[in-house]
Amino acid sequence: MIKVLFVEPDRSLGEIYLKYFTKLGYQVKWAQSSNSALEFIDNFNPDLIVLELQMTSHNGLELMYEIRSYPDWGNIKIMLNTSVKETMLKKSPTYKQLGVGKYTYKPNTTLQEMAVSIEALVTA
Amino acid sequence: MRESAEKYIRLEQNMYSKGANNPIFSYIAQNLRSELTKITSNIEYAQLSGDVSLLDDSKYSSQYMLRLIECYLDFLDQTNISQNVEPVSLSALLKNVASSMAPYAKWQQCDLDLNVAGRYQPVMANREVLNTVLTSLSSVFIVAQSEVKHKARPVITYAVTRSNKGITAGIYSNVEAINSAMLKKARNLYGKSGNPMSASVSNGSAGLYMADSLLNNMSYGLRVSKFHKMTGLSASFEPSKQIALV
Repeated sequence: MIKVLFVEPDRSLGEIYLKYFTKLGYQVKWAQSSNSALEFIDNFNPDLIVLELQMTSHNGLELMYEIRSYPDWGNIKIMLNTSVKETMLKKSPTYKQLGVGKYTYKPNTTLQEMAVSIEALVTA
Repeated sequence: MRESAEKYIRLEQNMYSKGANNPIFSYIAQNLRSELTKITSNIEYAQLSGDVSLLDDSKYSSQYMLRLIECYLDFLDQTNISQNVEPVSLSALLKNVASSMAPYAKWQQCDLDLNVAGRYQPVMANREVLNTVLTSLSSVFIVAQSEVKHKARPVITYAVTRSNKGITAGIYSNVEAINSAMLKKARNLYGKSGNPMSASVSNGSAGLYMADSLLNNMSYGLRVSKFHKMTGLSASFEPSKQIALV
């Protein structure tokens, strides 16, 4: 079973993702912050992380830097599902090096479209 | 409702991409976008799964958006503030605010507490605007603590105290979700160009900025303060010299 970790600070959205993607047959965990995401990555060992960048303490970019700094986490696929526009992210010179598999713009992406993106990324 | 939510999100995107220069409007728009995104996802999930257990979240999101818009409308109408001052009981006002915020706080899994006992003179202020300020600050606190992981059940306390500055009304939390850095960020909002990660702090910045600005217009100021080992935000008001509670 594919393991997906959602890193989403908003409680409403986190619960929706947890319920919806569990119903779709994924093994799902939801972390509300970067710190709890790191704990989940250690214990849950996800195949894919779906990540919101805007978080209260350490943001998603910082989390990605940290994940990519560990060789044994290098193969974890990352999908961004965020309200930060990709044009803004591309201004960062190191954004491409972080190995983002897929980007989705949260306000414009339905749950079904997220599911298609996740399926495409995990089967690639 | 889904169609109007999507239409609103696209309208905001168009305005943003055309370079709307007002940072506070941009922050309000981002807050509204965030809430509408939740509502859209909520409705979609209910339609796909038949599970309506999360639909209450949409109601609270809508109420939050309305509060934000009310605060912004008051913020725009600042010329009216100084013309409509009256004696206001801070204790009574905080009780009303706590009562109106209770369902929203419960949904966000935090408790509200009141510490307003005691005889305090009324203060001269615009009652409606002060109500908006306190409601906006309450929303900011409740949302901010919901985004922070903590072991203890979060409690937000509304308190009135006497100080050498006058009568102080404050909102405090046992979880440090609001601090000086955030208040500084909110104050720097106006005139500061946005950067991609500026919204990485909680969505409360817009509400804090408006509350601070509304208070400043009444010649009062918001500050970070402590109350019984809790941190929070408070403002001190001069008691009314004409009227005193008997």
